[in-house]
Amino acid sequence: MNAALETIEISLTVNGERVKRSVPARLNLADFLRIELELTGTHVGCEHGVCGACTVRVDGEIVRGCLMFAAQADGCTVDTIEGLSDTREIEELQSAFVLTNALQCGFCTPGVLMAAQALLRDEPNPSRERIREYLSGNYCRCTGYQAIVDAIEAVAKARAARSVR
Amino acid sequence: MSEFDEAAKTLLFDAPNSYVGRSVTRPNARRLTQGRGQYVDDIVLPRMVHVAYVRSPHAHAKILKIESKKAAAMPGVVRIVAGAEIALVCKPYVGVLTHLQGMRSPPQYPLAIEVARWQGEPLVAVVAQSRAEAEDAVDAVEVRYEELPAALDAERALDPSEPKIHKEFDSNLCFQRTVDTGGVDAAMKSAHLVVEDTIHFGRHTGVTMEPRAILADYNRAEESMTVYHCGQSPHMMQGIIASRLSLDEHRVRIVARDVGGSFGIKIHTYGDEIAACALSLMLGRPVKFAADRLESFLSDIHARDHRVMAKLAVDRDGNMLALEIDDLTGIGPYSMFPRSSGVECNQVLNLTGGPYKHKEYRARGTVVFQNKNMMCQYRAVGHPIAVAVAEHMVDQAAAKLGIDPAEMRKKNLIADDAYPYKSPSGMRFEALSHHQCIDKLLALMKYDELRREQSDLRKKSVYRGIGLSSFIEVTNPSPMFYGVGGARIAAQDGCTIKLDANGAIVAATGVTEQGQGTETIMAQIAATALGVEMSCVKVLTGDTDKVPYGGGTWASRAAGIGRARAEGEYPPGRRGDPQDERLRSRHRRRKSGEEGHRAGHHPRRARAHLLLPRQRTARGFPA
Repeated sequence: MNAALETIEISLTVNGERVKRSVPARLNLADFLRIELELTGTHVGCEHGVCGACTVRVDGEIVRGCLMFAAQADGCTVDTIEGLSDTREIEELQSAFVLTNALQCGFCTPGVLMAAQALLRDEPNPSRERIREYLSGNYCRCTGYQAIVDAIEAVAKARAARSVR
Repeated sequence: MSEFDEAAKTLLFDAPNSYVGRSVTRPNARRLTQGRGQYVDDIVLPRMVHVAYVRSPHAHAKILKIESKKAAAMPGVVRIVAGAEIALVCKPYVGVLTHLQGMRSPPQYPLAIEVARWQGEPLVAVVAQSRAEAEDAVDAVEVRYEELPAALDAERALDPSEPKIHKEFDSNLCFQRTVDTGGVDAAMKSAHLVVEDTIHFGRHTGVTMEPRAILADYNRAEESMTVYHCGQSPHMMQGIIASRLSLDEHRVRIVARDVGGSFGIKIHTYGDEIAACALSLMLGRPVKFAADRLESFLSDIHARDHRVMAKLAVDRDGNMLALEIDDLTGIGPYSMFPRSSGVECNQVLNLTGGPYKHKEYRARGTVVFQNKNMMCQYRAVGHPIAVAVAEHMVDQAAAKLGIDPAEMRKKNLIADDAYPYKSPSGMRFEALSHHQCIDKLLALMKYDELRREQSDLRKKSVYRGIGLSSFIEVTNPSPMFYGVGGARIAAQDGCTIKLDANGAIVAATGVTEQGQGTETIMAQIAATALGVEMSCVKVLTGDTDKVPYGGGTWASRAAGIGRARAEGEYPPGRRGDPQDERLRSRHRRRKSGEEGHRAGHHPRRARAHLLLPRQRTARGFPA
């Protein structure tokens, strides 16, 4: 039998829930989340690591869901847009996106939000240039990015203002 | 609803409780930020199977033999179907429009039969339990081809030595049109200066973040077909699928929920999508086709493959006398169904030089077949070509005469008091204001200052460019475009406004949402027209079972065309129903302040005050 079709037992924590599945060795993490776990907020735009729509968090670091095998996530903690929404971890960013209309069709948005949250966690006060650079791996074909940068910058500034007080 | 209130002498937008003209957030955006959108590939139905396609690796080839035994035995494979078998249940389509006289294109089938005519054309459908298994089996289908010489270069397409793509036609010509005011040659001859150039444009495509996708669900018991489609014009698609698959139109339901970008590429008839519907009909179960990115590059329509030769004649003072263009465009092997691939060229002829007042114009458009992926209308159809050509020629002439580019434009733009105006190409323009516009623009950009800075910097070997461009955008053009020439594109969009028993408003509209904010715009308009809070308006789009017949969203039409409908305009001579009139009279009274509605007071804040009466109205109590 083709090695890619061999199944592998994996157990991992997804959005705080323990999950056990038997998956084909070739199944990527994005497809695993979408097809096996029905977490369809993770989108597949290019399937070769360019567009960023499938960005998820594995053990605290953001990764391209299409460039990682599900089997590699065995034993890991995975967070998706659904998890970050339910825990309200990114509520402030989501509100800023809505307020500044930083999305149109919304297909890229979950991936953009995952990346934005990772940036603000590591660098609480990034410049606009830094925001643009950090998001260079997330394509948006509708907005032209301006409002996306505005939204992320607004959240960074609001957080900075709060921490000063 | 008129925008002008005769009694109050105010515009509707000035009313304190107007949502129109006010910036609001989009109610559906919150859902999308939480990953709770529903794009076609997110939908899973019971017994659903997936299709992947064998696509031609050649630009032009005879299909000698398709061997699929090995593939059919692979894990998960449900069925393998070639073009001829699809053709048993699906009628071919022809992408010509009657108003583009003389246009021709042969019948096209969803999957190629006998001959493949572009690299990427689908030939064989492989249906399997999962997309991955379908792709595995695609690799195992053996197709024997006899490669044929390909006609690739549009400039050589009409050369008798070029391979002919369709045996039923004497050449690779699809369509030709000429516009001629008659005096171009004389004007060129007597002109002080004639500038001339040839401009080549490369192909573009839309590259939506969400690749094309369709999920067709044929129900044999009901003889009905439900199609989840990431498209822009559900009713058009309903007509196409019903007619091609010989189904009753009212038993075909198209649902376009969230669409991950469209830009004009998701409004055409793609063989791989129609074949998925045909397969569902054949199998009696849901069939999903979701293109991957490589397929998108091979099969999404392209646009803007043009070569334009242009000549502009001007007098000594820079006044434009005559413009001549010759546009050649290669569209791939077929004209796209149902909107045709001739419209882009047609628009180039209609629009080139549009804002300028030259009297003489001659334009020839030639549309040819070639063995490349198909071209069709995409975002701002024809405009970029027309504008690039005209502006380039105007700049060339200005440079030769030593006239400032802004001055050159002011000299030649149609006067603001010249309307209604008919352009030499026959376009009718009303109430445009190019001069007001350019004056404002030059002041805003501090044009003279920028020019001085530019020339100072040039002395230091710093080269900066300043570009000016004027154009007229054709948008919301009415039945003049919608449905003309026989394409099933509604010119009669509707919006049904329903008042439910709790006083909420449900607005179902024929225009669709692909990220433009259509649903929000319709909610703003309906709430303003009816005098209710926007939060109590629910907007339905993109479901042919639930919304009135309409043309969908493309060419900037959603807000303009959907607007009048959501405002609740009645056909002449028909009055609104009494319940609706009661709501309106409440709104009017509130506007005039009779009900304590204070100026500048947003209705959202006045909720408690307004909600009860609205509920009373809904339940039939006297307003």
